[in-house]
Amino acid sequence: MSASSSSAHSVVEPSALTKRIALGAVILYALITMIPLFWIVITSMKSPPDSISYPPKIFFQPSIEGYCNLFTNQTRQTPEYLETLPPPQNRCEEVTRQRNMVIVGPSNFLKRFANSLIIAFGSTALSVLLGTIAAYGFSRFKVPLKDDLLFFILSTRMMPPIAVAIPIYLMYRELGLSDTKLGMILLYTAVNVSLAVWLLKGFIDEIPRIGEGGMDWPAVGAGTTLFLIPILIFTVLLRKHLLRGITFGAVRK
Amino acid sequence: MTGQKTPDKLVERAAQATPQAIAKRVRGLSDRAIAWIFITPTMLLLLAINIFPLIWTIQLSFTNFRANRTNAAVKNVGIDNYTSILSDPDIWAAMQSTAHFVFWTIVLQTLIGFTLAWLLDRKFRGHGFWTTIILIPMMLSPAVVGNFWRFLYQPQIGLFNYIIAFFTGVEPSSFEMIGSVQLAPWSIIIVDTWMWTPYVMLICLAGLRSIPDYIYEAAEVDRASHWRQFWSITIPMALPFIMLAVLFRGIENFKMFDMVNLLTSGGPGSTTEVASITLKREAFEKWRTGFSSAFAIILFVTVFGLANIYVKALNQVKSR
Repeated sequence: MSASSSSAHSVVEPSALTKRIALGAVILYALITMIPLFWIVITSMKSPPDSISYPPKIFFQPSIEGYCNLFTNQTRQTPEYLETLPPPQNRCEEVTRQRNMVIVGPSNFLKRFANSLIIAFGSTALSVLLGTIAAYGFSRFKVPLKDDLLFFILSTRMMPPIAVAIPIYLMYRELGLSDTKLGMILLYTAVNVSLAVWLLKGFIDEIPRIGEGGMDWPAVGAGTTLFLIPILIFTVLLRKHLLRGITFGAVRK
Repeated sequence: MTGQKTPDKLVERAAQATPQAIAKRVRGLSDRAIAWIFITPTMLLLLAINIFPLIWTIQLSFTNFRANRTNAAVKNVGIDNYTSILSDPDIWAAMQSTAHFVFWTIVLQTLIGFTLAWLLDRKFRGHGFWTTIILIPMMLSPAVVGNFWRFLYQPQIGLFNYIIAFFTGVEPSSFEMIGSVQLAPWSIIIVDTWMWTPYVMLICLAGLRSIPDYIYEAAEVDRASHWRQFWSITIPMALPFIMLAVLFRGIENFKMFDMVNLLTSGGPGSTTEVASITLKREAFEKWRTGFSSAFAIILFVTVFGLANIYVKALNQVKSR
């Protein structure tokens, strides 16, 4: 690794050999780390017997059975009954009938997936909204005990969720919020809003104040809304990176 | 953005307008009142869903309350819950599993994560692309990860066993990762390391990038060897970041629940029963609400205390 760097244009620029070795090692790690994901994706395209074959199959006849089973409910029928049915309408029905099964309707999967999406988007939107408003307050106005309040907001994140799970369960049962989407949205919002405040405060601190002086509130509103859209997407996609944003601030302080 | 340089008077005047001025024009509300209107919703939510339940947990921890028998008389039992937790061998076993899990995940993730960050900091062509690829596991949901690693760990058909067998020559069905008492603790460590090493790598990378080039240039002028530069510049200057990564992973893994719950659900027996899983069993299977509240408080105080001591050490390292 300590090859001479005399030919490099800067003394701190790593030599070509170092770079090549580093690249090789990183690619090796990336490939190994991707094996589990690669495997789960190709397993989704296998037929059930192929998926549990030994030795594991890398080459196989692709099948849509996994996806059919995920999206539909099926029941077993006698071959005599299957004879009486009209020919299969699509690939899924065909595959199902080969196993003496009939599709009886859609499965719960789509509903559950929709639940996840609603809760994820709902809580993201709500935490960005509350976070933006609070961050704006902290960033632009004199707030008594500002630093203490900001630290309080961040410290709620250090609490193990299990420490409050029981009372939240009791509270939700009383309020009729248990097993509802609204309850879940509020819960996730409470977890995420502290990050939103800290991160957005950084953003708002850096936006110049020009826009506010003109008192053109609809324009400010429109600007903020447009400003929110990328953050909304950003938060959904990069939820875990937000912590990193704060980490940097914490270390550089 | 270029407000000051624009000759436009309006823009200039606008740029000078203070929030106070705006505040007065908005229905005569004072500066402070508006600030509170902005901050209150967030504070209320945090009080309702974090602080109020925490106080409630503390109160419950001194009672024999059971959440599945709300009509039964609730008795105040003082610190009985706390004493019985501290003398309960199952709880100590859970704490030991947690410590084993936290220790080894931190060691492995820090070593691999830092090495990767150091390699990526060689700034070879395409390092951005490979960073993104490496980050993928940590974007996944822990529940999904727990589920599909269960499949990979299947003794006969699982890919993990097959690959190990392929390289070592043992029978793939001769060992069970999540079924055996010796290997199960390592099965959760492997999955957590696979998933979260990228996170440690990211923080370490930030640390390495924050070291200014001129320090290395000066060292080069002084003819310090690369080995010497690594130990006297790179490690000390990246240390606050490494310590921060350790802190975050430590806190997270102390609270670890979802991935382990789906992968081994604490089994076999209670070999991988980390603290959160014990807590869930006590609270929502045995319904010993008072007892589990006390356990939750003990866990919280432990994490909070350890984190505080650690942050003090971190600050010392930073101020050096």
